[in-house]
Amino acid sequence: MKRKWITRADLCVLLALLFVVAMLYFLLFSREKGDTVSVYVGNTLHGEFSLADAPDTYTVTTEKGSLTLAFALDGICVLHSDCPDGICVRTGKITRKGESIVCAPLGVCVTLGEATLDGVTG
Amino acid sequence: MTFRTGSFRLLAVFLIFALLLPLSACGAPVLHTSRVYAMGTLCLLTEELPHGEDGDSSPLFSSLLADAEALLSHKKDGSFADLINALDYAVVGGSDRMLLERLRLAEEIKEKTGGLFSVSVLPITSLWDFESEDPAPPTEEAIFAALAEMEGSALHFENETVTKTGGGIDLGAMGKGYACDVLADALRMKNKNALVSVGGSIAAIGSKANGAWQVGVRDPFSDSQSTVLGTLALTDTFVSTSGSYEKCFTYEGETYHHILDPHTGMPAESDLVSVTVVAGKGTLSDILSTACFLVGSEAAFSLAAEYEAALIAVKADGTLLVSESLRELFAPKGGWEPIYR
Repeated sequence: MKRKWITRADLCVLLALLFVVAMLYFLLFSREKGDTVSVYVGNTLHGEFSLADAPDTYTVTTEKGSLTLAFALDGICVLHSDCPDGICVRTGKITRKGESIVCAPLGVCVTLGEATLDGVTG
Repeated sequence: MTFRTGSFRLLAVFLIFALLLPLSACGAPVLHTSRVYAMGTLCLLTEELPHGEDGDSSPLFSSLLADAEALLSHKKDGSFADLINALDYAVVGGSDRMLLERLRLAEEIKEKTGGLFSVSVLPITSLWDFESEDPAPPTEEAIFAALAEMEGSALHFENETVTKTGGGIDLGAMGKGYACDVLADALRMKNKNALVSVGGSIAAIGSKANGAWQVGVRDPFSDSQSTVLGTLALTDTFVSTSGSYEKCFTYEGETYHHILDPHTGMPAESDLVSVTVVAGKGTLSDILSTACFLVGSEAAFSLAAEYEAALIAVKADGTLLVSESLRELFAPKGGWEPIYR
């Protein structure tokens, strides 16, 4: 008698294993929410805030103009910018770790992620 | 070509392992932070935990902070400070023996600073309430009376017994550093890599998997606690900061800060606005940060050098002075130009 290429038991085991692997990928690689906002002007860190205790708004003034950020508990957006294109304002709110808002004309980059500092003395 | 069941199973197992392989990278340690309010301030413990592992040290953290507060705070009934203030003597034994050594250190630094740093300052510190909703400076009469009470103040040591003469003691200028010492000892016993923050005092225990702990030094001219003037890369060391920007109030147009001069009973008139000390012990860094602020920028660096400690000092005019030994460990933020000495 010719043996089956795949039995029902094989299929069940395969599906169960694939399900476990998919769950592991989902749990470990799903994108986490960011909790710290780093504001850079050029390569210089202008300020770093925890979303939990950030001010309502924060204004960054550069040689080319100013940009105002609005903080919320779950993210951050650009409220106003002196830049001519307004792309940074239209980017909207970022909420996930690794997301950034870039205002190229003013040279400002706002990144949501983990704190670069482990602590502060003072 | 026909697959047999056995071949299929072999292929399935191989595929599953191939899919699981990338997950092995997830075993890298993650940082876990515990927050506790103790010793009148927010205390943080950041420690490395293998991915997904429970068993953080927050229960130990809370319990040791509570113990340190119960031992040191003069406001806690039965504490060392409460007993010595009431009876003029107290016995320090058992697990608290470290306090004896640290009190000797405080007395030694008191001598080196000509009495500018002192723990026998309760008569003065109790006159100033920087946390009041409606703060005001004490009257001149009250300050004179307190200074008279503090005259000839000293601690004396005999075995495990400490006796005092003169005014009461207030361990506020060394308590947070002492707590860092106690926590560092306990976490090292557990082979933990961790960063402990008790108010502005920090203990860096070991290092992170990807390098040294990164600790910001607060910008004394900024209202924001998260704005830093630079970053220290720390491994197995202690840091404390004293600054006139913290705990201060304005009364009738004049601003009063909390670092008091025991000779005048008033906020110290220093050319410094902030001093950060990196030292081998938490209590030492805490004591030196206050002592260096009080003696001013000229004497601060030689005092720190006597204890192999390093400084980051900010003068009222904005000058940033940094010990030469920190050149490789301190990264100033743009706009700050340190003078190394």
